[in-house]
Amino acid sequence: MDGFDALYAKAKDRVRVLSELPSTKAGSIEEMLEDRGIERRDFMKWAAAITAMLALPSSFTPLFAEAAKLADRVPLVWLHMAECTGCSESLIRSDAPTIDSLIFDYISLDYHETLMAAAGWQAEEILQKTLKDNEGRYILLVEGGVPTANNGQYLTLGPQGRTGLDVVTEAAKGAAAIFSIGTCSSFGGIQAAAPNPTGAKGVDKVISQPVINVPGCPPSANNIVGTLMHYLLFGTLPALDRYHRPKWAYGNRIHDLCERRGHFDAGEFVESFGDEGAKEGWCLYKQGCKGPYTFNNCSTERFNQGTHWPIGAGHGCMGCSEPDFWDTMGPLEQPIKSHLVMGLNSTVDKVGTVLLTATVVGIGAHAVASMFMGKKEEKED
Amino acid sequence: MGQTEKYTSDHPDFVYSSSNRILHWIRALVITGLIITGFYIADPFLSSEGSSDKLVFAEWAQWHFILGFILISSGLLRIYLFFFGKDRDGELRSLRDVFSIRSWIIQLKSYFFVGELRKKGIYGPLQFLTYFAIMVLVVVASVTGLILYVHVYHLGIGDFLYEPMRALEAWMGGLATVRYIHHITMWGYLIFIPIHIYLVIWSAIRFKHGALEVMFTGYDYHLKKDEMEEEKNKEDDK
Repeated sequence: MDGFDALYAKAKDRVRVLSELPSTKAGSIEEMLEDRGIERRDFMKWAAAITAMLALPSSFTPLFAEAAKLADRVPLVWLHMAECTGCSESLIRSDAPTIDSLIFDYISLDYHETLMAAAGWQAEEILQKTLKDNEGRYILLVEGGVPTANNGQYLTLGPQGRTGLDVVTEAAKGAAAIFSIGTCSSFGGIQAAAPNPTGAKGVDKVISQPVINVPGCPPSANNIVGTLMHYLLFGTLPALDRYHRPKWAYGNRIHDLCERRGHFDAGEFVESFGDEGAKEGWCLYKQGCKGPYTFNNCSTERFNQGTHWPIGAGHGCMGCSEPDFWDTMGPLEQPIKSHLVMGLNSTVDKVGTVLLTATVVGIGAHAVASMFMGKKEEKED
Repeated sequence: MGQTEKYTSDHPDFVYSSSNRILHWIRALVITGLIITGFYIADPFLSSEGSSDKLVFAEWAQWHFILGFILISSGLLRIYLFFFGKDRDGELRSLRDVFSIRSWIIQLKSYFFVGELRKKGIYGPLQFLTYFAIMVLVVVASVTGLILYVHVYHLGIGDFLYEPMRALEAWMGGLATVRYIHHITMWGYLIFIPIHIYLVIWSAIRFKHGALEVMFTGYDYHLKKDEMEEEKNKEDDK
């Protein structure tokens, strides 16, 4: 196992540490899965798939399965800030419960505003209790941007009307790891689009601890679970890119692994939605696909239980896992040359054409003037 | 009769070395090619030849990359020659014009047909700043171009430059912004080119010197009158 011995030893050590921790649940994850009709064989297949997704050798699969069974040893706290709950939906929506969502549902109930039964004072109490009892142990997952303008008053929640800024700062203090799930918590998202009236920011901008960003609108279930499982298996942060996104998921552009890439290189483009090219599944570049500027693994991991993804469905990528994509990628269904120049209701090409025309007119006027001036001087000579 | 002789005799001035002249024409051709291929990449106006085996877009993009690397290497060489070439004196002397308000007024007035264009170096101050801006554009276009390139070719120089370019990419605000800046630089050239050609021809006609020839032969030709005036100026200075 060239080069992976140290990593394997590290993961093994981590699994041992995890197994010594007390479980937060009454029954084990194995029993839970069996009760819900998941056979061990399916579980191992799932473990092998996630191991492969994290770019680990298959020898890690048994170790990973061990770690997954110990997932109930690490409490999760899932906070909702300024968002639409689409990221939670991405994870829990499926035609039949997947192993990801079963494990996640089972372990995450400590605090998840959408999934938990508690409300009001009860919910607030659970949050406080979880934060206190598991200090330094829990994983904090945040969904949604954090409004900071006006002291964060644009987002208040709970019976005490606390600001989101306050809640996330407090929860971050005792967290073992912090994951920003979705573009809003990673980079601010749509509410951070210019002029950003609420001063919405990504979580990493309002707290001082290191944050792993899992952007996407929404990120695929695999990216959320993979990031969690990576932490579970190694207890450390994965290799991150410049925007603190895990490299195993956000290392390639959409364009690099796109199933329509061949049509791009061949110059076969959809000229309008519904034309012959669209029926043939040609490249959507001229319909404003932002795949060439966007880093994500949608083409391989996909959504809705891995069945499909936007480009597969015939619509271009809109660059949702990139920072400020609302501002830098628009208009979404036009190539980037249609992007409006800041402050002007016009594109670069239009401004350029106007300037070029003005230049040519100026040159013409100067040339005509020169002719008259030249004549005058020739006479003087 | 003496009057006529003064105007017909001329004296050559060494301005550009052969390498700088060749580099100028390389840049002229390469930038023209980059604008054409770049427009195609931004908005592919030629479509498929009816088969996915004929890589129309990829070939256009390939030429864009080839020309781009020629621009980068010729640009680097030109920047080196500006400081260390054998014709650097004339160019560096122009800096004195840039920092002289009087030179600015002389050049601007001359463009509006008032007085002649007298300068200490080979460029007027406005001309110097324009060429400087064009070199900045070359650098910006090259850097943004390299950022876009490292995502297409992952081996060799693409691999070597990958990490530093990713850092610049994040600093500029993501690939979409990089691509946008790259597109704007193209408009910079496109507006510069007609002004440049016009003013070269205009200045050759207006001030009766070898403004066009200088980029072919390396020598500018001035009327004898100029030389006599220069000598007179020098005497006045003393």
